Amino acid sequence: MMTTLRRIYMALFALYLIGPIIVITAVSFNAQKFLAFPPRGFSLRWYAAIFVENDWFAALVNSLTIAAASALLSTAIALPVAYAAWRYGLRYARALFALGIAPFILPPVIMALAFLLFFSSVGINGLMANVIIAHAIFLLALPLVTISLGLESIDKALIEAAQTMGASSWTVFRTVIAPIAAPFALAGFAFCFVLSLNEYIIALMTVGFTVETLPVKIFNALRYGYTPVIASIAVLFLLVNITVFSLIARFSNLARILGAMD
Amino acid sequence: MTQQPVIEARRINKHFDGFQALSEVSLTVHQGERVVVCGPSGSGKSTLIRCFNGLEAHDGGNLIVDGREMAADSPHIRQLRQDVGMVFQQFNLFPHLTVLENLTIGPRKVRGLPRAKAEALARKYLERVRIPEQADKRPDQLSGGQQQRVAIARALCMEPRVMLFDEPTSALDPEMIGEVLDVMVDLATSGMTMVVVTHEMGFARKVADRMVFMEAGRIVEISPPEKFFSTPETGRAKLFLNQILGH
Repeated sequence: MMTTLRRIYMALFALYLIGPIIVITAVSFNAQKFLAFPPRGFSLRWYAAIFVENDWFAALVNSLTIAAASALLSTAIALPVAYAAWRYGLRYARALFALGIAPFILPPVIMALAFLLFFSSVGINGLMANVIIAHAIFLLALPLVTISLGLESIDKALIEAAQTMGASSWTVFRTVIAPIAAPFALAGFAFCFVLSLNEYIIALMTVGFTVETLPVKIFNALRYGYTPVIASIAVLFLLVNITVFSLIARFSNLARILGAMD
Repeated sequence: MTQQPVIEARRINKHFDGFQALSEVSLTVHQGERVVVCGPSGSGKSTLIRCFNGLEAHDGGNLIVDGREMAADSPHIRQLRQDVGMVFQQFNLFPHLTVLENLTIGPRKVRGLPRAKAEALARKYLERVRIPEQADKRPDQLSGGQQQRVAIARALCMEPRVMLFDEPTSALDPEMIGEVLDVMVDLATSGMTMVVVTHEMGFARKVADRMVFMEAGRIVEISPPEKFFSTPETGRAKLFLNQILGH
């Protein structure tokens, strides 16, 4: 009796999680010109549309560029801060660390407003660089946390062991610290990339009228009707997310990054 | 012992936040000599040998290693450390490298040896510690005893003039202590200069030229093992020996 109930519960739970994905995937293969479920006919035209229709393709390129650049910038800022906080326990490095986490904790709309006000007050409006910088700051918490986790997994006695063999600080960093922390930095980069790709409100408020990213473009498109391209893009995003997270799981300890103890 | 001293400590002191870990410690270790340092925990044994390769900076007295002043900020500290091998209680192997890479990384990155030469050296020392077949494994695939033998080989690959051992068997399961001590006896017999902090008195009896007994940051007694184990000079040493041998 209990096992049957448990199975039913698990099945419902799985359906609840996977239901939207099934619907959106089905809709994306629809042959009709509107979002229909169950789909009528089968077609890949909405997938082709992403690459063929100029405005969708431009939005895709914008999104990928912004995601890659902001993830790179974010990781580049996080690395020295996390390293200094870990290696030397410097007080100001810890303060910087806390500051780096803050934007991620604040409501995104507040951050979006702050970026909007900042960029207009310095008189730089509508550049792609604006959203790259904004995303890099907003998502800084991710590489900060993953890189710190990676560094904390390094036993400081390993550094001593390297030192006893005459290694300089730079050699220790290059041969011991960097190789152990690298997968974690990569994971931070990947998290940033995915979240930037999916981010809407900051992208809208900083550069929404000049540089259209995919989420912004989807929202704009919704106002003029429900094109199935939205569904195909959703599936594309899903694939990107799955790929990125599988890669993280493959090359570093995902469970640990997500906070599980080992 | 007529050879030149490799390590010469003259009245060295070391403080940690107001606590004096070493007071006025003087000890000379000559080329080819095996010195075993023992004493109750907290007596400063580890601190002393950590000073010998600059992992801790002494804050008083003089420490001459290999004819040069050792201080944490000395310009030649990296050169000095290459001449002073160290084996830790917790092995401290690099987890991201294979056994062979653990052994070659120092010679390659610090001494600048080409890969082939470093590997030949590594295989020679793996043979010496009797685990040549584990070369391509990762440290976490080895037993504690094997890991410690790899750590010894890793230190040997730097071809140091003196080897320091900081309680090398304390973290091991009892059945693995023997294999590590065997390797160390081997090393001692081959003429390596060694300073060993250990509670393994059987090992000490077998290889030590001199026993050093420490308590509360001071060297209380230095004597040859025959004398140290039969008629220790000090009551404290006698008490200590009774505690660790008397059961």
